[in-house]
Amino acid sequence: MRVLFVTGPTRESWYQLVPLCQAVRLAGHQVIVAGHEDVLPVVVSSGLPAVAVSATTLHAGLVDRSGEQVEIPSDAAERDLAIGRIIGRFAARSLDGLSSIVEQWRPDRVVGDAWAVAAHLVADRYGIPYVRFGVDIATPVAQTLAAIMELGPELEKWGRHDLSTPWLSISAAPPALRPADAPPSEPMRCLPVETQVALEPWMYLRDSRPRVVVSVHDPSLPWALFGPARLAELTVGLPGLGAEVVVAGSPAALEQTPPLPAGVRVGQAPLAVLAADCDLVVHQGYPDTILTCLDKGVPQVFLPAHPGFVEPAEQLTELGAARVTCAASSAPEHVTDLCGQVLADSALRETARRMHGTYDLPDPRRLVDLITAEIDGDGQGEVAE
Amino acid sequence: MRILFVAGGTSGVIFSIVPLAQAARDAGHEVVMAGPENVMATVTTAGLAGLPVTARKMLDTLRYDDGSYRTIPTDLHERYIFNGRCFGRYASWCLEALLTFADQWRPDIVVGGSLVFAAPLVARYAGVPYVRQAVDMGEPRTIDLAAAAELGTWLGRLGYHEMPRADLFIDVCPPSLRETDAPPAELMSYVPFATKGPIEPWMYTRGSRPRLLVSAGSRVSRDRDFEVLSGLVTKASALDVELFVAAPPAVAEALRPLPDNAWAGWVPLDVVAPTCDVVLSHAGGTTVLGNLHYGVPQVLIPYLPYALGFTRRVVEYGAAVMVPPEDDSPENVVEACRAVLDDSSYRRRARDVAAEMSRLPGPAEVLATVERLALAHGPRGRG
Repeated sequence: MRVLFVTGPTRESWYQLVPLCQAVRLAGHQVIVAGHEDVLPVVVSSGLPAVAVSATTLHAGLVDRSGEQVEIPSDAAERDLAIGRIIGRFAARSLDGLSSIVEQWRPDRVVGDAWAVAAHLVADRYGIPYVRFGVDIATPVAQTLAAIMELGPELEKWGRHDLSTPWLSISAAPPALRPADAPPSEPMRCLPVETQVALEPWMYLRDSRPRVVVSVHDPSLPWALFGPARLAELTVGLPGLGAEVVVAGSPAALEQTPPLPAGVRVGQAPLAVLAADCDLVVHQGYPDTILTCLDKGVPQVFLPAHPGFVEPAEQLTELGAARVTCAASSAPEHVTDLCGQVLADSALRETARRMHGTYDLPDPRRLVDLITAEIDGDGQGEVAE
Repeated sequence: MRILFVAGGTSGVIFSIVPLAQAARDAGHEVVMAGPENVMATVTTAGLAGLPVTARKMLDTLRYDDGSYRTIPTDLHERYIFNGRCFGRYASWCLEALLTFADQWRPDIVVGGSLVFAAPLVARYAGVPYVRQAVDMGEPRTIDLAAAAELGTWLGRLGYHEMPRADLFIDVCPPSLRETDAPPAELMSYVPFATKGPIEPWMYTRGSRPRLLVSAGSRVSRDRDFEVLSGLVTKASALDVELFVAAPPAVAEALRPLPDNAWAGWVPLDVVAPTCDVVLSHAGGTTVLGNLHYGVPQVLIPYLPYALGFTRRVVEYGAAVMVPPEDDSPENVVEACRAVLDDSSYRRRARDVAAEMSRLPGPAEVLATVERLALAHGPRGRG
């Protein structure tokens, strides 16, 4: 069977799809990953065949269809709609590229990231069973609906009134964070995946001090209110806690990180390797970072990069596995204090460690049979123009 | 059984769902029609129990909370989104009271008009099937999608990841005029309903001359539209017709003095239309459908962009002539009316549609499908 995977608009959203993609391939099926030029190097580095959909970017969605620059409103409901429309415009600009790939390769299944709305529409257009894959963290339903709304003209053009109900839906949301409004789905264990580099001893060896990892994230979201520079500024006092401080991230994130105090380690290092043996991860609240921290059972301090990231941070704070503070209004001293409290809080550490045990979900191999199951009267891969 | 009808915020869209509600009531079911306070008279004068669910009006969706007006976009895509969000906003105002009522009254099934986006939510909340009834011949689909997005906060609060989909779609568009990609539907004959008043003999009897009815809708209060209307009255006086202008009292007054062959004021469309030879309107959905029902050819000026789709279909079918809004000079409009009067093919095609509509199942027959759906789901949604 030919299975087309379609990435979301950002690199980090691709990572969560990797284990499923590899599981399908290892089961003997043909797999191709369609993604944007931006994302392709990361896909290729995961050892999977990748094809470019288009050169558009999520940031290009800041210009609307009539050429107007859009602002991100501060009102929460309006902001969700604006963000959804950016995702929708990204999808609209992906439809031609994706349609060509589907026409040429004729997949039997399309598996798309929840943000790859174009994948869903193209699968519907060609009558191919669509499998939705979502992590379902920090994605308000209004964003998804606004993305679909933005595609109204294309739905109309292709004779559709709405997206279909996915043939299969898979969710890698950790049960503790799964929102009530996430679509009904088959659960899947989410395994942390990231771009690998040759390891150096400092990455997997710690000294006797407490180890704090500051995870700077790719500036991938146009609506993020702050990036690596602000995170570095806010965490400048951490060495004062007597801790070993490591600042790690992708090359793009490190490029935006200002010079750091002597004694702070900076480098591109896999977070999963660092988090496996550390006492605290300070980060901007991106879902891929959260998932890695949960999987490793490590305490977290959130400085959410935008208001949409606050909800999971608060959920984990309520569960006693994390703390959150506002990146815009906090001073470095406050962040240092907060991190000091977390390092001294053995109950929090224990709760975070136990979160790891909540990951008792089917692993990706168990989903392969569902994805490739035969369908009654299946017009598999038929191009229905 | 208990059937909850959820009405829209304007009379036009309420008229469309009245026949099915009346059929349900006449079959002995308990029927309640919920809607905003300002349309309660429309509901209750249709002989239906009315439940007010908000003090706000549909027109309030055009304003911000501080009372200032929102800017209506000119770009078509943005405009559809704007319109859809207004419908979503309106639904959000109705929901609180609707959900409370659903808890208290426990409906077995919910029926809502196409643009009434509170209906699917209250149905899902009550755990009962949702029936969607078309109120006219369809809207641009971005309107539905934008209403859903506007209701995203509500959906999140209720724990739903999308707008609940209809368990049954009842369409009132005659098959020949449906879009080729229209969703699967149970088709129902459209029965015109309008606010009633005492009628007079001239309303249901024809004179010796052809009758031209102008259904001005609510848009005539605007200056520009009034000029079109008064210009039209002047021009039409040259035609050998009886001219009726259906208009609110203030507009009718402003049109006076009228030429000998003209009359302006309240016109019960469902009584007068059968006596008419051509009806001119702004292509409001229920007006167009109502005239098709009576087999009357039409001249349509689709001032609102959403009306363009079905206007084109009726024109293509041969039952109407379109005057593009940008060409709406009195000369052009009178010319279009004359064309329809002089060419019997428009009348023939209009009657073809009317015949097609009359062969569709009526509200009482379609009600049986609604009943089956509710029964299959089990009593009070607990089955």
